[in-house]
Amino acid sequence: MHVHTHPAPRGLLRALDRPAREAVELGHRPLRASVAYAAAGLGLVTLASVVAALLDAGQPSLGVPRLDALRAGLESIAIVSPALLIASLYLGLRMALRTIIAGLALGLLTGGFVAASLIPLMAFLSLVERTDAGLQFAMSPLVPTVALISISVVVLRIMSTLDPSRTSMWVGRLFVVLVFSVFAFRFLSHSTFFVLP
Amino acid sequence: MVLSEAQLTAAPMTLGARPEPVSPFVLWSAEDLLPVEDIALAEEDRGLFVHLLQDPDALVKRMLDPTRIQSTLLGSLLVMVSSMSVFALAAGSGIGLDAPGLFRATALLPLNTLLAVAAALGPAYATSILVAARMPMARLVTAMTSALAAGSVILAALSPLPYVLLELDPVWAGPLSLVGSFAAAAMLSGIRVRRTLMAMAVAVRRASLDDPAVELPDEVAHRVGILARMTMVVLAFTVSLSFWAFDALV
Repeated sequence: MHVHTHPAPRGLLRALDRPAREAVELGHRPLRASVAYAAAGLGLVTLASVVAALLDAGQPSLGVPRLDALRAGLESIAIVSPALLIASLYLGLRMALRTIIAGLALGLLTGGFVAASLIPLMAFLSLVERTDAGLQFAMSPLVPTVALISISVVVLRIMSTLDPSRTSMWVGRLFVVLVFSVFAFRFLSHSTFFVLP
Repeated sequence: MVLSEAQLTAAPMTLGARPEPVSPFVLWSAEDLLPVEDIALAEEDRGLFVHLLQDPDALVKRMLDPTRIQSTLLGSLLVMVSSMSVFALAAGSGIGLDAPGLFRATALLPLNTLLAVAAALGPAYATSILVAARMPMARLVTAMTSALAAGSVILAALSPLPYVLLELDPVWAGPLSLVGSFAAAAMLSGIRVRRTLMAMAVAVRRASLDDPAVELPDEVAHRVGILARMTMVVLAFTVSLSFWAFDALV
């Protein structure tokens, strides 16, 4: 039976589909390419978070500080990413510094795509909230949480592909645990480290 | 091109690397389905930051090259100052310092370390003269600074721990994690000082005798060991006093 196969994707979708190979290639391009990917990802996460905050604005009784989750998520990435870079280098994982930076940038880009893909769901939930069903959803913390999960998944996938050693696996697990620990503690404590409007 | 099952399973495996999981609903080229491995850079193409963390021998080569020693010293200083600042920022915000307090901490912690290195240089140099293992001052400064820079980078890598634990338990776990981070960084710096001095002594001896296989005689290694230990002790003393007296993180 002849099956018409879909051609391999180009551009950003190709980067999202095969992050390990893309991280290696991106690592050999100028650093600004990685920075551009990371900036695009951060922009998408911020956009989705702002949409969630606006949708939550109609539900003040939830008591959720609207951009605190985004702030905590950004803090956790900013604090834990340098630790991942240094640990990978010090322990001699089979990944160059630039490849790990590119991997983090691809993680952010994927997180941005996943966060943006939640916008239709959040709009739908906002409509449901306005009915007589009496349901309420806290959407502000959802977006950064999902983005952090996506970043963690992509980084673990890249690490397990490029260096499947036990050390690499433990570094990856520690990265995930630290990212979510910092996120949880900073979100719960309502820090004033970064002041967002 | 569509790959058969036999072709897919026959894809050559590179040691350690493995194929990346890709979508089974998309047509991939044969190249996309091969194991992925990062291309290692040649030693000279790796930057100082990588050498500081991974390769003390490469660092010694830099120190023995008169055209590179200055850039190695400046780079080590830059890495040390920025790593200490990152740690001060993380630990300071974990403690709950306000914005002026954070600014003070990020400026004072690297300054304390620089002051401590400057104070430790004289005694270390004097020890090198006393044990008949005099090091040229430029190499001694660079060796001590690069070892402290490596320790500072590890300190920056450990910063998420105090950042979280100071929030969780500011009475016990937080301060202990802070002390533990400094202790781990100090231990690494100490190991690195010894390794650098030993590697430098071996490299210079090999160059002197024009024999790439020669090792240090036990008696010479013993003297270099004394110098390394004294350097570690003096550095530990001055750095601890500096952190204690100037209260960077308060």
